[in-house]
Amino acid sequence: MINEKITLNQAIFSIILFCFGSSVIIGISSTAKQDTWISIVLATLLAIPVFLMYARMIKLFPEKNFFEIAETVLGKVAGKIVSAFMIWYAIHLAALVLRDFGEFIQVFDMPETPKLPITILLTLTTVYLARSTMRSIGKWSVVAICFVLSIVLLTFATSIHQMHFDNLLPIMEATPVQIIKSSCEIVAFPYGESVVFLCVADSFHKENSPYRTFLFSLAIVVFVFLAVFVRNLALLCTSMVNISYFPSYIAVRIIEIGDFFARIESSISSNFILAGIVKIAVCLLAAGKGIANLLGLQNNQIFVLPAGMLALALGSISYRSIMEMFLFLDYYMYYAFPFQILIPMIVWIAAEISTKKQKKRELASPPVGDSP
Amino acid sequence: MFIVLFLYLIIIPYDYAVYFNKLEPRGKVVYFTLMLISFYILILHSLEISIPPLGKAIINVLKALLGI
Repeated sequence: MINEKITLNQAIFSIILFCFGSSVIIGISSTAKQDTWISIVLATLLAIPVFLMYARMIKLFPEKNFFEIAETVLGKVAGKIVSAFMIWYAIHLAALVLRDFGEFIQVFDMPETPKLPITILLTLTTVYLARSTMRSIGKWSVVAICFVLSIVLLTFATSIHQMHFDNLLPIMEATPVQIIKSSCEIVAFPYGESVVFLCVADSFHKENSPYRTFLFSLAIVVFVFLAVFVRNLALLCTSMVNISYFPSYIAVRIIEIGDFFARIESSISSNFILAGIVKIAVCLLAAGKGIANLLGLQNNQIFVLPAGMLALALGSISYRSIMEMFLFLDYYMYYAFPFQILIPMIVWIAAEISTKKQKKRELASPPVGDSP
Repeated sequence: MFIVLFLYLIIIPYDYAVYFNKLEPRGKVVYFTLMLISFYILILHSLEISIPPLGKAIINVLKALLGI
C-alpha cells in the first residue's frame, strides 16, 4: 500500500497554495473597489464556520475522504449521487484554472502561441504530480510556499517607495451591500474551493487536528491576500485595478529601483505556476479518488489522467474569450454555492446524526465481559 | 489537431502498459469513455468547430433558475 499520508505542515501549505492558485494572478473580487480589504476581512470571518464544518467532517471520520463519508452517512445511492456532483466540481475547477493559465500566458507572454500546447504541458505535469499521490503534492507545497511567499514579500518590499497609500481612501465609499456581495464572492473564490480537500482528506494523519490545518491556512492566506491587495491598489489606482484582467502582473510591472531592478513581473508568472500546479493536482487527485470510489475500485491513480484530459477539454470550451472568463467570475459564487456549502452541509448534518446514533447504540448495548 | 492525436497516441499506450493489467473491466469502460469524450471535444476544438461555451450555458441556467 502506498503511503500517502501528509504531515500537518504539508497539509497547511497545500491548502495555502490551493487558495493562492489562480487568485494570486487574477486578483480578488473588486466589487467593493478600494474597500475590498474590508471584504477580505469579512470574507475570512464568513469562511471560518465553513472551514470549521469541513474540519468537523474530517474529525468525525478520520482518514476517510468525502466520498467514503457520503456513502457511509447517506447510503449507497445518495452517497454516489453526491459524490458525482463533487467529482464534477473538482474536474470543472481544474478546467477553470487550466483555462486561466492558458489565457494569462497568451495575453502576457506568448500571444502568437496557441493555448492548447501550453495547457497540455500543464495538464501532463499536474497529472504526474497527482498520480504521485498527495504525499508528493505535500512535499512540493513545502518547497513552493517558500518561493511564493518570498516573491510576495519581495514585490511588496521593493514597491513601498512607489506606493500611494492614499489610493486606499476614501474608506467605506462602497455601500454595505457591495461590501457584503464582494465578501461572498471572496468566500466562493477562493476560500470555498478548499472543499476539494475533503475529497483527499484520507491523506491527513489521524493525529493532526483538521481544525488547526484549516484555520492556520486561513490565517496565513488572509494576510497574504491583504498584502497583495494593498500592493496592487497602492501601485495602481482603483480604476486601473478594476479594469485590469491580471492586476498583480500589471502592478509588479511598474516596480523599479534605480536603473537595474525592474521588470520583475515574471516572478508573478512563476507564482501562478507554482501555486496553480498544486490547485490543479489536488482537483485531479480528488476527481480520480471520486471516480474510483464511485466504481468501487481501489486504484484511483489510473483515473487521474482521464480526469485531467476531461479538464483540459472542458477548459478549452469553457469560454470563447477572456472577457467571457471574467463574466463567469461574476456568477461563480451562485454556481459554486451548492458544491462548497450546500452538499458538504447535508453530509455534515447526516454525519453528526449518524455519529450520535452510533454513540447511543454503543451506550445502549451491554458491555461484553469476560466469560466465566 | 495533430498535437491532440499525438498526445493521445502517447498517453493511452503508456497507461495501457503501466496500469491496465490491474484494472477491472468496468474501470476500463469508464476510463475509455472519459478519454473518448475529452478526445472528441479537443478534436472539435482544434478543428475550430464551434462548440457552445460551457461557461455561458452555466450562466444562462443560473439566470433562469435564480433570476439574477
